[in-house]
Amino acid sequence: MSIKVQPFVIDVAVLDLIGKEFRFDHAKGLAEWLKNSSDAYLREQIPDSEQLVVVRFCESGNTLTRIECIDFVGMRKNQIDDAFKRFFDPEAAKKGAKQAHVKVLGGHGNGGKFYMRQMFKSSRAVTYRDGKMNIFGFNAKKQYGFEEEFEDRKVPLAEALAEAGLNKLSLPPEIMRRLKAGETGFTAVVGEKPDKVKGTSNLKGLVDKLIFHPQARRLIDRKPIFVVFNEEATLTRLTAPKLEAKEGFETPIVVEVPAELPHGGEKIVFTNAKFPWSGRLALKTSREPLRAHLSSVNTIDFIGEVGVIGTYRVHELGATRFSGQVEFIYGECECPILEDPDHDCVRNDRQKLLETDRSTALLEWVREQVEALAERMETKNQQERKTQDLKNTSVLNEMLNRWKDRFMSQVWIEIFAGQGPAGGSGGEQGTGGGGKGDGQNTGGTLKGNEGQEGGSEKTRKPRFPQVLVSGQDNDPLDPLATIPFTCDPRHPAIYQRTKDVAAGIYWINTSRPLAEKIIDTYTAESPRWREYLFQRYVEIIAREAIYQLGKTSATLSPDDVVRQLDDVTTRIHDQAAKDLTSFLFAESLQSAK
Amino acid sequence: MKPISKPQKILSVMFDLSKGESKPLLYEDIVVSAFQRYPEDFQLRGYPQYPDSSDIHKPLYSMKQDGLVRSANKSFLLTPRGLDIARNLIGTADAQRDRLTKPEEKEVNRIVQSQAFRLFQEGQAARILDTDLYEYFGVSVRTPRSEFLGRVITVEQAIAAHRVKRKNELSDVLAKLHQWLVGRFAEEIQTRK
Repeated sequence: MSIKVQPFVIDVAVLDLIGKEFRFDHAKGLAEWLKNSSDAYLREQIPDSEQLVVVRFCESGNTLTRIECIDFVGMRKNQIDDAFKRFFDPEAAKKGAKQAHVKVLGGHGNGGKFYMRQMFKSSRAVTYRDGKMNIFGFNAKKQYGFEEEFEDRKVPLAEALAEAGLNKLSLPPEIMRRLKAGETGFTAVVGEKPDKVKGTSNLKGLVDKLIFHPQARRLIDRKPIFVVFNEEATLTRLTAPKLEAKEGFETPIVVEVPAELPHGGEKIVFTNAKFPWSGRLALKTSREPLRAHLSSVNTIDFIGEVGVIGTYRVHELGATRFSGQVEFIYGECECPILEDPDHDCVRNDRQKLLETDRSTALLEWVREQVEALAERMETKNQQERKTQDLKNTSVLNEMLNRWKDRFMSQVWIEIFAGQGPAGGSGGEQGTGGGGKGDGQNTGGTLKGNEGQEGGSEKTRKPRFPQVLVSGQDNDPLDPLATIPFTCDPRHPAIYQRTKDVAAGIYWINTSRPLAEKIIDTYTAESPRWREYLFQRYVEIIAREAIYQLGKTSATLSPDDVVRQLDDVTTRIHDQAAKDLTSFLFAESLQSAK
Repeated sequence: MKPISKPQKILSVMFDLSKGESKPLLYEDIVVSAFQRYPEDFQLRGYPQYPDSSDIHKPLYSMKQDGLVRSANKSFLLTPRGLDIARNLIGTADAQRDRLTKPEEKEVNRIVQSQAFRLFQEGQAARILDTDLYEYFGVSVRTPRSEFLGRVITVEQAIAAHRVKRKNELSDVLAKLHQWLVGRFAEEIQTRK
């Protein structure tokens, strides 16, 4: 069809329609103003250190009466006409920039203006540049326009500052110098009689919310943004409080976004010719749970080229296990392809990503990473709880270690003297102890303190094994160990690593399901737990006896092993009946000692 | 007939002494038998009427590292792999080049039933523990170095034989699992080399 093209005619009612969708709170709106101020500096290529943004709050009694956001750049009338007046212009934030391809925080040119229009009885931008003042704003009927007599009006600086109420502020000398030299101007965006919004009815609450708002947090962290209240002159720097990391998780977990992720049976790619880097996710932890006023930090921010393009509370990513730990996690994800103009995932308000296969696949992957970190935190928690539960076990273990040494030094002589290589346990090179005897050499050589360990390393080890408790004892072979050594629940009840063999160390694995059940049900002070420890000692001594027997013959028959086990366990039980009665049967730990 | 090396001669002597079974032989018996059958090879220098035990000692321990022999308290026995090689050496093996030998088959069956194999197949290789590695090789953390290395060779050869003789999907899985384990537990294995 051949038509004579006409410009679109759009009724202003669309602004009401869309404006309602913004659902501003004042922290979110202020974040939009801060981004606009920051963009003004970016367009002028002014470094962060020379920028100044002031947020001013005025109240009467307990009622917030005015909110202002002030920067020291200023706008000319043509910028108001070309950018400020225009809604839905994706280039709005770049207009007037000194550099052709400047990267700005503003997205679609709406946020700040809609906040002015929707959330105040009236609002205006008081702006001054090149000696001319413009005041442009929204009236109570939400119509916009220049204020009478303030359209490109020539005004001396002092008068302009007074008109904007900036003459009462103690501004830095450098800003004042540049203003006086005409090198810069200022813009004060002023909102009168703000709408009441739940959660930001008092000033402290509002400032806290602003500091932690995802869109404002990074700006406050990096740029000199100040706050001033009522008639105060002194500016106070806003700072985002530094969150202390959870112990053991001080270093952020950084994971590269995979080049492709599965979604709906397909593989979604995260790189292409324009975006060769798939991005990364950085997860951090907080020592305190991110609840109440910190709840807005319990988020994953998706970072675009210069700012946040979407923010998700961690619970919004989807159901996660370990919900208790998830409350301590926050982070940010860079994924450049989300801003691919051909498949843009960025929404107008930059709150959430557009729902596409790519964004959905990415969110699911992020959820999995969050869950994985939460699982690690939960595991550490469990280990700490177990250490606490096991705190008395080291005393019990010490008693059993001493008893075992006494027992083995007596019984080993009786069992192994005259049966070939005896003494310490180990591999084929074990040479400690009795040697090829005639039965009369009843252990003279066994009285030495150490036998030689066989196996891969010819290191000296204790004559009898040292038994340690996982989850309770630090690894003696790791001089830097600060936390107890833990076993996997799948490791056997009695566990040795390669290096433990050489050092004669055995670990009682307290992560085994039965061990955990006894501790959970009866506590580590119960006779059941002492009995459990004792049984592990029986296993260790029996195992040592079988290895000792193995040195005497290349082929052990089942009968050989059973005879040896019967002999050793009978002796252990008989001796325990004499020595360990109270340890095994007394109800309380104190009486066992 | 193709000439055989000294270790091969010892292997065949042990095979005969043990009557083709895996039973312990005294070191002295091996020395004497080897000398009686191959006096040129195992005589004491300058005294050809006497055996030289040192000619036996070194090859025996080398065979141990290759997983052919196990020993304790100066007695030695042929492992299933040692028996297999000895049988081939003296020509009594029912050698079917396209079929796995019984020891090879036994190794593969053992591996297939291991935790490491199960976890690997379920895509949970990251959960494989050091104790699973030992089970995979059929050893324990305390297995002496030479025996451990012998077991590694035995397992590797069984996997290689499966690849040559069976060439099926399982051959690929076995090879990948082995490669993964050797990489993941390189330190464990290296400390024993």
